[in-house]
Amino acid sequence: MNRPMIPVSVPKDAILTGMILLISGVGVTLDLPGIASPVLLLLPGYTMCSALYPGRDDLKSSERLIVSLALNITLVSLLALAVNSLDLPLFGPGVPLFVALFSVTVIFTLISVLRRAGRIDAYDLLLPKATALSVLVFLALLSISALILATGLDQDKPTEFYLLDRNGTLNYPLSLGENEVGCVVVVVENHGPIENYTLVIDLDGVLLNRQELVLREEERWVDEVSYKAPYQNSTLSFTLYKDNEPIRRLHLLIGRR
Amino acid sequence: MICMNRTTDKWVLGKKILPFFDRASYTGEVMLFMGGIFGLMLSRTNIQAVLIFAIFYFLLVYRTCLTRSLSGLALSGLLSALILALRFKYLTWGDPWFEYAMIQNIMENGMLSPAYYSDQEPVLHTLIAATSTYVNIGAMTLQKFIVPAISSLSLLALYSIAREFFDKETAIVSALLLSAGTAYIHWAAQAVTESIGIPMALIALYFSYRSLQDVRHLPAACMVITGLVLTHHLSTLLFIVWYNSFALAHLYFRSRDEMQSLRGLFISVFSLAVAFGWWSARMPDIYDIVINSIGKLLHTSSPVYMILLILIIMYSVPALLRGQLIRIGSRATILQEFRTAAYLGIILCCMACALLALHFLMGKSFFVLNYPLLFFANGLMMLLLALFGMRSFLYLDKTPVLAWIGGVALLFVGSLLKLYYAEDPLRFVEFIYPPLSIIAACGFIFMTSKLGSRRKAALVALICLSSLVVAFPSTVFWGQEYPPSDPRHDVRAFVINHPESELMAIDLLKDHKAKGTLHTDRYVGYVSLQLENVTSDISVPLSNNIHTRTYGRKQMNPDRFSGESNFVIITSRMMNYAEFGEWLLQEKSPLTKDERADIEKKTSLIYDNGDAWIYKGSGFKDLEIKLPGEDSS
Repeated sequence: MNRPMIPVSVPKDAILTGMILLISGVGVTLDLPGIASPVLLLLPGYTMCSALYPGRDDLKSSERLIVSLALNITLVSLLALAVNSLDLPLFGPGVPLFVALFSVTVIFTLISVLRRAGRIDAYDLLLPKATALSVLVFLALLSISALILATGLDQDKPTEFYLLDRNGTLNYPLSLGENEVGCVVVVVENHGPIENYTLVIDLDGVLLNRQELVLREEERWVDEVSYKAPYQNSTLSFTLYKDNEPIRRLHLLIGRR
Repeated sequence: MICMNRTTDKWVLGKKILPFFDRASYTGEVMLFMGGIFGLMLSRTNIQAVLIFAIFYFLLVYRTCLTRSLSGLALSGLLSALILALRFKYLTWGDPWFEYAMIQNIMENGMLSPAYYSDQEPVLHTLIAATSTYVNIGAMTLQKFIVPAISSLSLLALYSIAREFFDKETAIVSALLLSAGTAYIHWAAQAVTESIGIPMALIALYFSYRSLQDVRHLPAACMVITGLVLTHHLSTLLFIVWYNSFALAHLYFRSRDEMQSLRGLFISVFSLAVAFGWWSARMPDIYDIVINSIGKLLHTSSPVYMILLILIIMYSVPALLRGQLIRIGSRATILQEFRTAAYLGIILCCMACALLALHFLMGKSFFVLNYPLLFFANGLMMLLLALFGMRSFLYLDKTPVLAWIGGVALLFVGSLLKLYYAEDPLRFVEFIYPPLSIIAACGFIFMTSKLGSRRKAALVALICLSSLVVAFPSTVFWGQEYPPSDPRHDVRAFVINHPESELMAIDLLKDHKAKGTLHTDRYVGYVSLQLENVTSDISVPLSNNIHTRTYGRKQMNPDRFSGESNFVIITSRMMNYAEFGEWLLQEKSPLTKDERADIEKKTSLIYDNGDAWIYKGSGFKDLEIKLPGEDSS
């Protein structure tokens, strides 16, 4: 006697989950930005929720949303702790945390499919219906927002004026022997439109150098300045002028050993 | 295109062309949401664009209230939570920068053990660190947007809880009032652990309550409670108080099922076990504070056993004495004859507590607080609405909500009276707001019962919009600081936003691998937490969870420097407002010209961007640095 075959229909959300998992896996492997975000932010919790609540009437949509996200947040932390407990760093080779999230999502998806199999009132994701016009309007608004963000809405950065040592760090030779020569690097960075500057360097009030600079937008000017310590204590001053007005000042207190 | 159809609506405006007008379509809500986002983004360069946000936000809340749409509610909450993220380029205030430093720590080390990760509240940090690593988007951007987005789940959770006791209208109004509640939005819009702790606590409360009635919800409730414990210790503690108050009131006054008591006890013991287990293993400071406070309150040397015993007794009574409770309950309905007297008594009690709270919030108690008067507008309105709303709660079946707010309000009042250690009593206020919103919503519905639905919706939208404006410092919606004589003056306006110049100074130290100690004020100190080899005055107590004030402005004095490499960052903001170790316990004062001149005299000025300056000095006194003009032979 042949038993009638009851077809097991795979819920739409399980198929969608599988597709997203595959795409995310590829995204992480190829280091593509943004692709893996569903696996981090929603899928593990959503599949766990579907496994716990297989019936359509078990939860309302809003309840499914909040518990899915809450479960997701919990799962990410618990899995991170579990990965660490195996003495594995979270983001080491083999992407252990991602693999854990991926695996847990697969497991919960399978459980949810099995729990929903054969149920008349099985839950499945209802994808919203959108008209062409509303999709177009939404995409247009999204594009405008992205354009605004990309072109940069931020205020102009001010001109920077600073000193470095020869190694590009902030360890200046401030204690010199009698005939020893120290060296410091002066940097001017212009973040606005093209500007004319004048740089004046003096040592204890005695002019050492005066230089005119023209910097375009986002241009960086660098120069080395050598100095000695003529007295027990000296002050090496740097003043940056714009339109004959001092706009920036720096100084180094130099001592003689 | 435009047709008049008098048999249905007055105007049928081609709903396919203008979906906004179709109340059944959520497209309009999405468009209003996007419009609000657009306005906030534009406001970064032109503050007038805030008006665009205000208009779209008003319409979105209006439409949500009118249609009672949950998608509209979610989008309204999301929009208000993203205000700071969209208005400002960087993280705001100070605490979010601590979270950012922890996230970077995890991204670098990949380990969550205490040796690498001092905070031990991994939910926010792990989520953002993992997302940033695998999605290749900057951690700060993710933190700014994802965390407030999660916080907006609070509204759906509160709606669900309110819906268990009231109709859709009251539930929607509750959630909308919460979305713009001052104490709530302050935390929801930041990107800190509380931003996730509050919604997790509400979701845990809702599913715990559902678990009492249906055991199918128990696994989800337990998972969410576990997540809450890993999120934030104070949210966990307040959830435990919330849940036990709420559940016991339900069991004593509403429930007729003995099994509910057992499930209730299980959830209570489970939440305590997970919380105490995690804290004792990974957060011993917090564990000690909680245990000692409980021991002090209960006058016992075994607080854990005592708490368990109390819970077992409290949850057993409804199970074992069900019949007697029902008989008492039926007789207690007679007490409802005295509703009016009870109502007046509760009003007097609430007013006394409110005066105590106001006394504290206005800085007249042990905290030095300088909130502007406008800041209190939302709180006073909520209290007024709640006083009217209380009349709806003088029935046995509404006692869980009363017990919910009563539990946390008692904790708050106890902290003001210093009955136990509570570092910051202000932190209780955001946990009072959810149940307060439900009660206030009842009051609003009662007071506006004669108004039509459109006017009611417009009033709710107006309340929400004006609450948002007064909740934030003036730089958020007015784009500037105001002098003390202006009612919009708010010292918080100085420190909510970190200007580009400040971040540029920090970037210099980061890019050029500065090593040493950084001396600066509290808020710049928070930003400096991301620096690897630089220890700031604030980083030591924060990283080691030290709760005593170990630093002050005197550490800016070059004569107190130690070690070879000491950096000082001064910003122009610090000449108007600066905060050092005094926190909320002392009056703040800006950096003085003399203090600055002293630093200028005794250290080298190595960076100047017109708004932020970096000085470098040494703690070694072998160099007798003297000024030019002094004896230099």
